[in-house]
Amino acid sequence: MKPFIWIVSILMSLLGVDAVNAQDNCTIQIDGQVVDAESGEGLSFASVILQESSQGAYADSAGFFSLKGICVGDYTLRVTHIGCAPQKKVIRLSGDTTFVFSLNHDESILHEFVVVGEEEKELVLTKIGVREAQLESTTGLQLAEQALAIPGMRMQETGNTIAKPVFRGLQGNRLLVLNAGVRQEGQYWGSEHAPEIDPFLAQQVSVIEGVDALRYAPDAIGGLLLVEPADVFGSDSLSGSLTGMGATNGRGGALGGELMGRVSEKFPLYFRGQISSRKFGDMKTPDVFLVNTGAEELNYSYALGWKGDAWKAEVFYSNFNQRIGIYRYSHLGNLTDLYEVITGIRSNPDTTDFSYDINRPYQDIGHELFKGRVEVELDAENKIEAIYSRQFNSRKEFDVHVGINPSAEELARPQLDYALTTHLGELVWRNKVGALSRSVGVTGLFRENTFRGRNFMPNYRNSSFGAFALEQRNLGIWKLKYGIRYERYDADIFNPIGSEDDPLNLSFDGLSAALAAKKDLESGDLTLSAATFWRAPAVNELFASGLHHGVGAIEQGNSELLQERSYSLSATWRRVFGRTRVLATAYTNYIENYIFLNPNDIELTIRGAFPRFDYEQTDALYWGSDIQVDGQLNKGFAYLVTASLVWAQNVGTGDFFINIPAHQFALEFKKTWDDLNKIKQPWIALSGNYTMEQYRAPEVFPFESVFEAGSTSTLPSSFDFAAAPDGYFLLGARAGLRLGQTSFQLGVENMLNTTYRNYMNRFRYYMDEQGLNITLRIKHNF
Amino acid sequence: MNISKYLRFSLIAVMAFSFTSCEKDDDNDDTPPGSTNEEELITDLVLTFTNTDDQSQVTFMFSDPDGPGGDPPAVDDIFIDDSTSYSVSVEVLDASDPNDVEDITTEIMDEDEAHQFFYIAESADNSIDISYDIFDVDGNGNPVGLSTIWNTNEPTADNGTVRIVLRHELNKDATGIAIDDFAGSGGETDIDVTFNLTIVD
Repeated sequence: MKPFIWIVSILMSLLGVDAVNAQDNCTIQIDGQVVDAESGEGLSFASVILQESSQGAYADSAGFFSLKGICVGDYTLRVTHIGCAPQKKVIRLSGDTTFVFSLNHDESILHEFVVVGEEEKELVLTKIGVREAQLESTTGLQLAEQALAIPGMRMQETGNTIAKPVFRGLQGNRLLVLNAGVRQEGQYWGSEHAPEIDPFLAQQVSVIEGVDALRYAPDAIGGLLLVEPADVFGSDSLSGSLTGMGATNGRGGALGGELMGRVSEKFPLYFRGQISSRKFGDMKTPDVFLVNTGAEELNYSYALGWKGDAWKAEVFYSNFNQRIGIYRYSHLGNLTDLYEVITGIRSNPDTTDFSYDINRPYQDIGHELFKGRVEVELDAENKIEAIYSRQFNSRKEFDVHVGINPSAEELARPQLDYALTTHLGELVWRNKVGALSRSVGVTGLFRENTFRGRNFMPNYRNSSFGAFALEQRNLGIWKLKYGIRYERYDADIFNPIGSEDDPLNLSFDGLSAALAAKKDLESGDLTLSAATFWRAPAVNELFASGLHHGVGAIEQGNSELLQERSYSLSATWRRVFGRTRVLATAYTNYIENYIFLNPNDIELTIRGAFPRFDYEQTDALYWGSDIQVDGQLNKGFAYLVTASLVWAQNVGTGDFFINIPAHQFALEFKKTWDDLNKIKQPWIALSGNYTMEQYRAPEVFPFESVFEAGSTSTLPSSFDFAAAPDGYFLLGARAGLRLGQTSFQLGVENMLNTTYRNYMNRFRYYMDEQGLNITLRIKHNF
Repeated sequence: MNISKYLRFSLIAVMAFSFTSCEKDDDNDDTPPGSTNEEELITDLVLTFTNTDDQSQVTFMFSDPDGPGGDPPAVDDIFIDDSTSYSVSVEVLDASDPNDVEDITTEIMDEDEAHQFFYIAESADNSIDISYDIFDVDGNGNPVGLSTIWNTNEPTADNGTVRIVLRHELNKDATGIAIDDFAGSGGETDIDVTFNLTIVD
């Protein structure tokens, strides 16, 4: 970053020279940039004011500013930025000049982390995410929970141990996850499969959409969640951190450690190693312990990097191991059992004591990622990057149901066992001349998925080849980025649909394209984005067949499915008003041939009646808005207001889809005090979070009439087994301080011990959400 | 900083070694990938009616050899005589592989304390009366329901249904539990089938 600033400063001084001759008394121009003292990144919308003349300007989104028509004289230049301590500089102006201001972060502000990507010139869209500092307050939680601070980000849960990110109402196959720059490959089709990523690995979690996602995938219909570990080249000296977290609910905690540095000054070999573990027992609602809801995890990763004169190479490896208990009473026999639980005819023996044991049903999940990357600078304008990655994912599910009288051998093996191997290669050329930059690349992906045990999805091999071209240029006041991507997807389906010798072949291909335009406004900016993506129907959508135990439903694939195509539009507006900063996004996503599970029939089996859900296609419309306002009321007193609104509709039938997050509103206040001797930056924060009832939910399943008639004639076209739960309000509090290199955070969640159910939890039919939880987090940097 | 340097080099060495060994050992499972070693699929339920007078036998079955989903099950309609007493035994089979039909009934017997059959007749009143065979009990003296006595009367209506439910890990001592009522018993459903029942005049 530092050399970049120098180059900019020099460039600007050169530009300034032209104007020198035309100088009159009041024609002086000041150009400059406001940057973060720590990271060197440009600070967006900083304000620059000449106190004596009251002339002022706002910096643009990259921190650049320009003041014109200034008279010769002495001035006090005051630079302020939300989240930073203001800076003053006394200057004598006799001609055009250039300044770079470095501002220090003022820790009193709440959410300086919101915009994380201004420094990345390759992204036109505002990259919004959660940075390291903010991630500290969610240490020990699952990845999806860590990402919740991103506007528009919600999660789909299955019990309390599995959380999957949801962005603007879309999830699963439509919301891709990129871990350390590699498309995360797991069994991400089911909502009970969370991303297999160590949350401790993340230094930054952010979301990109539209044109910026085009480089990574043709199928980022709902966007792309980026999980970025620390840069291996990030530290020349030995540095690291130790993190600990403990929680009262679940009586568990997490530990993590990280070490990074460079081998020696002469030897530009960099390294980073990281390890983490997590262990929790049964969670508690305000009333009872939830049987078998513990989790344990052991993960590690390391990276090595070599920096040559004009090239860089790095290798990265991560290993993720998890065992998670599934709430014991979520596995039911059939529709009658579900009815009895929902209506309270049968109550679950939840009053058992706390336990750390993880019994059936549980999941054993492993994930490995190996990545190698080489980047070569051909000349000042051209760069080439090659990446190869390989992933292994294993998922073993141990059901409650193991037969009438299982043998020891049957007890030892999982009922469902998937192994997925993925190879991914990418080659990208980048060219940058002035404001014009281009990148062109090719990617190839190869997957192999095999199963053992209960037949739910067939074995398959699949390849996907893509080529993309992106260009970024300035057009008047607009900064444009546009691109196109072609992808061809082939799949061979084996046992039990086809055979090893005679597989069923499927192929799909299509174009994705996107455009983003960004314009600087007075003390703000506006970004417009349009994109079309497509995705091939996933193998489970085509061929899944069998019983899903968690919800007691039969899922049936549909081999006739066509590819899905999205057309999305979004507008993001940012503006600073004095001490207040506003970020607002409005979006719409029209998805043609939207694939979803539609309840169709009541199927008779020897275990009784089960609802059968078939994969079907319709046109779907998603729309919504995310609004965030943060600012300072007075010194040391900050607030944050957020609103997350999302709507979705089946355009074909007018029905509502299931599992669309209800509107959510949150308010947080934070008070910070000055340092007190050795206690640095003490603060407390109080937050309230209101989630509405989902009024746009499908009809409730008519159990009585179905049982009575024993027929399917009374089935509505779309249904859910229970009504959407009521809205709920949660109160939380946090406090923190720093002692030397060690920071402490104390958190209280669900302070009022509210009993509630969450519409976005698949187990809302059977269980309440977690009650009061007190957490302590300690991080020591060295 | 010799120690620090030593530490760094050893870290690198460990990492470099680990890169070479990162492929996970696949399970030492003999089963080839893609085989469905299905855990005990219950596909068939066979009812054998023995007339207690003349010992004549007749059988009816519920059969779904491909398991849940796929082809719908075949369910026989039960026809039995009026004013007759039958001893009815139930058999449970895994017939998913026709060449290797597995009798699951014996496994239920082995685990009889954890299993119980329920019989719910939905026909005109007093047409039929089903009771547990008093000799068919588990180690605690509770009924299992593999064998039952069905007494038919003069039917007031010919047609009805009979629902047969097998519960697993239930509480056999729960209050309200009866041959036709399992609501308070907890546990899970292993089998839940309904036959059409006609009492022939």
